[in-house]
Order: sequence, then C-alpha cells, then structure tokens
Amino acid sequence: MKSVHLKSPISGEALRTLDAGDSVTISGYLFTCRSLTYDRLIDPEGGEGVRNRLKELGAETVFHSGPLVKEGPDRAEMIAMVPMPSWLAGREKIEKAVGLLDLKVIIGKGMLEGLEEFCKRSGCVHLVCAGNYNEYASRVTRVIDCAWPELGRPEAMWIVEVDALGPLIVDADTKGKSLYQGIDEEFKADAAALLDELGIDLD
Amino acid sequence: MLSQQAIAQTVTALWKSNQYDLPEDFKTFLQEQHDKETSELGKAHLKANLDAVASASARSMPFCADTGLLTYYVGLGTAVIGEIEGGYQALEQTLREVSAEVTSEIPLRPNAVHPLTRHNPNTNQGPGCPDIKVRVLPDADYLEITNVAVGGGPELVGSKFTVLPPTAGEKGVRKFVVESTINLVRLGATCSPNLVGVGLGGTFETCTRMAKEAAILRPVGDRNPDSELARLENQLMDDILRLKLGPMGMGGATSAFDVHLEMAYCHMATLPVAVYLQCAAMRRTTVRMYADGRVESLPLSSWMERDS
Repeated sequence: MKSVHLKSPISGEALRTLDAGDSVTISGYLFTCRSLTYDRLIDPEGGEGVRNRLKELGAETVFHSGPLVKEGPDRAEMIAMVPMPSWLAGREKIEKAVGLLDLKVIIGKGMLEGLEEFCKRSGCVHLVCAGNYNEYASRVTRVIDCAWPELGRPEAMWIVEVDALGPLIVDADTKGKSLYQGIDEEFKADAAALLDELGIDLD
Repeated sequence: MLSQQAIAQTVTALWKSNQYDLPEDFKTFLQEQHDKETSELGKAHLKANLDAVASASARSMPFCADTGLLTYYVGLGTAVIGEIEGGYQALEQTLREVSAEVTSEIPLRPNAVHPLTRHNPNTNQGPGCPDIKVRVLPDADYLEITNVAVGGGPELVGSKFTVLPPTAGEKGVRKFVVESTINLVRLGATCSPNLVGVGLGGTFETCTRMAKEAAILRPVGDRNPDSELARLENQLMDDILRLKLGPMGMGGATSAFDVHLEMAYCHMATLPVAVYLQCAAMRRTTVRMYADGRVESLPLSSWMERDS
C-alpha cells in the first residue's frame, strides 16, 4: 500500500498508478451528491446550468455525502463532511454523472457491486473513507456554492474547494480491482466453519 | 419548582456534550482496540475515528455529520411531577422547541424529512420528531433526561426483525443474529464496529424496542443479570468476532463493541428476534434535575434498570 496525493487537474496517468488499498489525499474542487441531487444533476435540461458551472470550475470529484454546514451571514462553513454509502446513490446515476462531467474520482462508503467494472472502462476510481466519521471537513478551504437548496441542506449540492482531503482508501482502481472484493474472499474463507455450523448460505 | 427555562438550558447544554464527544465507554474501547488491532486498515479506521473525536471536541463541533434523529428518554419521578412548571405538556413542548433551537445553534444536520415528499423543514421537527419516550419512576424526586442521537446507519440498514419458528431455539437465534450482522457489515454496508443489540421474544414492537434500547442504552461490557442470557450474549459476541469483519467491514479483530440482549416472554406460536446495530458514532448523554435546582450529570441512563 502506498500513499498518493492527487491534485486537480488529475491526469489519467496518475489514476492508473493507484492500486486498490492505497491511501489517497486529494486537492481541488469537489461537489457533494446524494440520490435526489443526482436526479437533478443528470436531468438533461434541469441539470445543465449546474453541470456547466462544475465544468467551468474543473470539478473532477463527486463526494457522496450529506454534509453538516453552518450558514453564516457572509459565508457558509463546513462543520462535518462524512461519506454516505455509494449504493444509496445508485450505480446508474453515478455512471451517468461521471460520463456527463468527465469525473475522475468518486468518493463514498462501502462497496457498490459492478462499480469496479465501470471504473475500469471509464478510467476513474472509487475511494472510500477512513473511519466511520473523520476530520474531512477541516480540509475544506472554501465553500463555493450551494445548488438546489430547496432539497434541504443535507441533500443539496455543496461545491467546495479542498486541500489534502484525506486519508481516503482506494476501493476500485482503474484495473478492475476492488479492495472490498479481495477482503470478501478472505472473509468467506475465515468464516466458513461458523457459517457451516449455523447453516448460513451467503449469496 | 423546575422552570421550563432551566430545563431548556440544561437540555441545550446536554445536546452539545452529546454531539461533541463520545461516551467514555465507547472512547476507551476504541482506544484499546486501536492499540491492539493488527489489521493495518482496521487500525487506520479506528485512528480516523479517534482523531475526529479529539478534533471535534477541541473545536466544540459535532464529530459526525450525521447528527442523528433526536431522541429523548425521559424518566419522570413521581415526587417531582407536581414541581414541573406547566406540567408534563409544557415539558414536552420544551423538548420539541430545544430540538429546533439546537439544530440551528450547534448546528445539527436537519435529518427529519417527510417519508414520501422528502420535504425537509430544516428544523429536525415534524410528526414523531423529536422522538420522546417517557417512563414514570415511582418515588423518585428527579426528572431524568437521556438524549440519544440515532444515526441513519443503524436506523436505515442496521436493523432487522424476524419471527422464527417457535422451536428454532438458540441455534436459530444465533443464525439470525450472525446472518444479519454479516449482511449489515460485509462490504462496508454500514459503519462497523457496532454495538449489537438483540431483542428476544415480546410482541412486535417490544422485540424491536428491546433490541434498540439494548444497543444504545447499555454500556460496553455490560451483561444481562440473567446468567443464561449473559451466556448467550457471550456466545453471540464470540460468533461475531469469529467473522473478523473488522472496522468498516475491511477485516480485523474489532468487529463489535459488544452484544447486549434483552428478553421478554412471547406468544407460544412465535420466536421473535430483532437486531439493531448501533454504529461507532454513539451519542448518549444523561442528566438529572431536582426540584431545588440541582443538576447532576450521569455516565449512564437508568432507563434499562430492571424493576424486579
């Protein structure tokens, strides 16, 4: 396992050096997204304005998160920003957004089946959080904008600038490998005796 | 007299300590497990948790962005009920108002939404929110309030209920608890390690309530006073540790904080079992208020103390 710092603009070459299990920090622009936010973002017409804004900024990273934001009179402050499970967002929506915006990095939590194949095809990576909760909010240097606030503060899209956000762990790399898949093989071997004793069949 | 203003101040302060820091039993467990965890990724996850709590406490900020659905466990001492300004109705009103106030003051993430329209009033208020549970405490001369913030992980995917055939026995219970834990933790589905609460028997809502309360209101290391149930708690803990699912399901020795089990008699045609996986972001704080104005912080709620 190696430690890598990704800085925007992120090159395909830098992404190809990443292996499942590596530790990553990231600098640049990113936006938060949840399931309802994705619906807006990938809407052909309704999402166009926000998509153009993200492209102008050069945002290459989507962060699956409903952050805790304090809205002040002049500016908003990121209090806590932890990932939510990527499967909550849904693979089809994620893949569509990555295609529309040419995203390089997807940050979330847990494994999303089939995403490793997509990452291989499109050359992007899926990173997962370290810990259940973490210090990521302290790496947010600026809150740039909030799109679709009517969805409620956590579900709205927050566009932020981050400096060395991390540590994050590579789940799916660009070679079709998923960290969780490897761990699952070990789990099945380790737990085999107990599963057999209790009569548990894994899917 | 216990004024509503004093109650509001006390409960507001309680939400702050609730969100800025972990209970001592959880913090100690995470530190000890971090020191002895041999899985490199497992250790990294535990370190991230400990660092986040230390940083949040120092900055007086919530340590997890999912600041939970706000829940109160209220113990009403019979000797203090008449001393509460405006009576119980006013107390409930105060608890509702404080929830909205702390949501903007601390701030907390507004998590409470309409289940279908997904409308979010951004106040953590709505039908059933905050969630207020009340128990009368015979002869007690205090009002005891426990604040618990229940996160989306445990409430969303970290809970399961089933009714097993009546003779499924201990092995059937073990199978359901282990299978549920695997499904909820494997591949990082929810935030592990967890405190696993198990409800055994009871009616539909008693079974699920017991599982949740066992997970969120009993401290790490606690054992059921019934020795047979304590033995089953140990058995289930051994089973779960054998899975080596580890922090965030990435492998390791730290797969659970503990297993707590509560039992109630059930209908003879059934064997109900419920499982509730409390995540590592435990937010549990308790305070007692007396009619003379004294306020006492407690490390634990007395909610689970058994009557007989």
